[in-house]
Amino acid sequence: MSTLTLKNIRKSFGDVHIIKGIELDIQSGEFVVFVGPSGCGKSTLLRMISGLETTSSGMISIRDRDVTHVPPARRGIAMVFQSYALFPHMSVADNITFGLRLSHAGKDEVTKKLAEVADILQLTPLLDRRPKQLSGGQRQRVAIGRAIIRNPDVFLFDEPLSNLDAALRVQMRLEIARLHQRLKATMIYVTHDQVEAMTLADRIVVLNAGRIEQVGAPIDLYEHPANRFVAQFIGSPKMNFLAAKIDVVEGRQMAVAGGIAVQLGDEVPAQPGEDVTVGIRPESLAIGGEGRQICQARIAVVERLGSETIAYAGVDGQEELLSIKLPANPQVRPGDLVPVTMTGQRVHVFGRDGISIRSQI
Amino acid sequence: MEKDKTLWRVAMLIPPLAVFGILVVWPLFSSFYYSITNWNGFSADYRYVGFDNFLQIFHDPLFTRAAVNTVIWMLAAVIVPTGLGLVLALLIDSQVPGASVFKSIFYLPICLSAIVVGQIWVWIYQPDWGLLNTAINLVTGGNSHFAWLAKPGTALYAVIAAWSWQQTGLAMVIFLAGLTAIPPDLIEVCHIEGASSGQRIRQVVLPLLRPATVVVVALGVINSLKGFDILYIMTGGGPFNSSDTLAMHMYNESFKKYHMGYGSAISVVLFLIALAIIFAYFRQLRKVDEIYE
Repeated sequence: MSTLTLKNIRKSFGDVHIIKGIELDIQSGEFVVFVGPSGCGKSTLLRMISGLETTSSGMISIRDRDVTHVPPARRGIAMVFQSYALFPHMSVADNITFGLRLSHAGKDEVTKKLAEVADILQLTPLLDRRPKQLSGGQRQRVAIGRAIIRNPDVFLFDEPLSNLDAALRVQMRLEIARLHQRLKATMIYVTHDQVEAMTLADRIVVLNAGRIEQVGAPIDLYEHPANRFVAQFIGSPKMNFLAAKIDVVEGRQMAVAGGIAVQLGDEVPAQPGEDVTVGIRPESLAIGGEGRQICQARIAVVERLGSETIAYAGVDGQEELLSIKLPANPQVRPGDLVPVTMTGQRVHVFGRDGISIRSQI
Repeated sequence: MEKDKTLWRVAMLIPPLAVFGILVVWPLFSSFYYSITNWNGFSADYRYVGFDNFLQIFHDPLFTRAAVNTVIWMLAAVIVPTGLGLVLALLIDSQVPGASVFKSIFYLPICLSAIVVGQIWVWIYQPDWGLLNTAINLVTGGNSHFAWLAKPGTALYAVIAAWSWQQTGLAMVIFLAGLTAIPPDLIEVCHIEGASSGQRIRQVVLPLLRPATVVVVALGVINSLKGFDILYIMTGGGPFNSSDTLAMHMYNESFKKYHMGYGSAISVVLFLIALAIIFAYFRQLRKVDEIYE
């Protein structure tokens, strides 16, 4: 059953068009992540769903009810803000129960629901504290508590982890994932962090310049990006792109890019001489080993991350450095000339318009 | 090198410290000193009288009258501009048409000196052709020549109205700054949680304006304690001491009756009241800091 439907949603400020016709259906219980670079319109879209931003045209419906022009409080949504948006003069308990108290809910009901929510979010010992006396993670849990207690149809999260340090962000990410499993609620989550998107989402909506570039499960977006934008946005480190020409060498279709030649399957629908872009993920490349050698490259920078190493290498004829994901502690140093091999995994080919011609194993 | 820098810093501090010392510290200690003498303000012949001047305060009916008036003046001169300033700030913040024009108009009186404001209001209250009586007569069709500043029952309140007219702009600007400092997210939470305008103002906006309110009230109290010039120009403390405040009484005793010793004792009492208020203000500020980041 569809919980939220967006039909040709548009938002303009004068002549500036921010959201350019979004069509989306979100199913009940789904965790959908809006992801995209800064300024792509993802937060604006979320705010339009919440009702905090008006909609220039189109229709928003929640549980088959047109809420396009309904005030935020009557849409059946709850929102968690990046800044936590906690009232500094209220205790944790008063912050969580703010909405219930406004609606003059009975004291017993308020106490019971508060106890439930505090238990879920492990906030019981902190109920009398003020926000200033809490850590960033605890504050975000209070903000989530204020959303949960209203039992909304749709939870909206606007970059809720952006203000937290890296370690806390990972912990809170896990907590949000567990919360979703527990509540089985419909959640829409905005982030610019593709790791958050990949780890949390049932479906990711990739936005760019006010339009949806692609919607799909995280692994689908990773393996079958619809275009260059999605290909470079999903996956870390980002995909390598090589400007190439289609050529037929010894009867086999190849994408030739400077010093690099990548063999393509016959089914790639491209004509010899056609300009294309070849996309290879860093994890599909290796140095030496048993894969097909595609070029020689000179190592420029080596980033040793502990569990893995990222090597950046220059190739003749290519402007950008190739990024290659390597095991924990490879014997490579800046300045080494090394053979770069394909480990037999996926190659993506994009036409001149950036649209994926097809992904090829 | 470091020593040169220190010397330079000290040299730069000397002029402002000298001015502060001559204009503030020295008169302050002089007041303490003269408050225990019977100096008349002119004669070199005066003597130590201990706490006689302070004891005299308890037997001075005019001091009691002035103290009561000061309390009325202080309460009204704080509550009225604070209340009006808050209402105006909330209205202007709600983006009423022409908000920036209203903001400038309401702020304008604070740019005028108290003497100018006092004179404007003397004209407004003028019994025969003043704006107030003219307006009342126009509305009621009557022929009132009520002397607002010459009646003991209305004089003090008439000055309070003039004072409030001037001070409201300052309160409004401070409240507007306070409203601007409220994170928009908190107001958006109110919209999402379904707070009505009244609930939003009562439960969120007013508590979040507490830092601004502390400043407005403290400034109001301190300014009203200092409030002398507007009273001097409008009523001179009269009629029959009905608008006499402690500052006015101190002036009259010191410079009109030439009781400089007694006047100094009144000024010391006034100073101690101001000091107590400032301590209370800092205590409030500390409390505010404990809640807000």
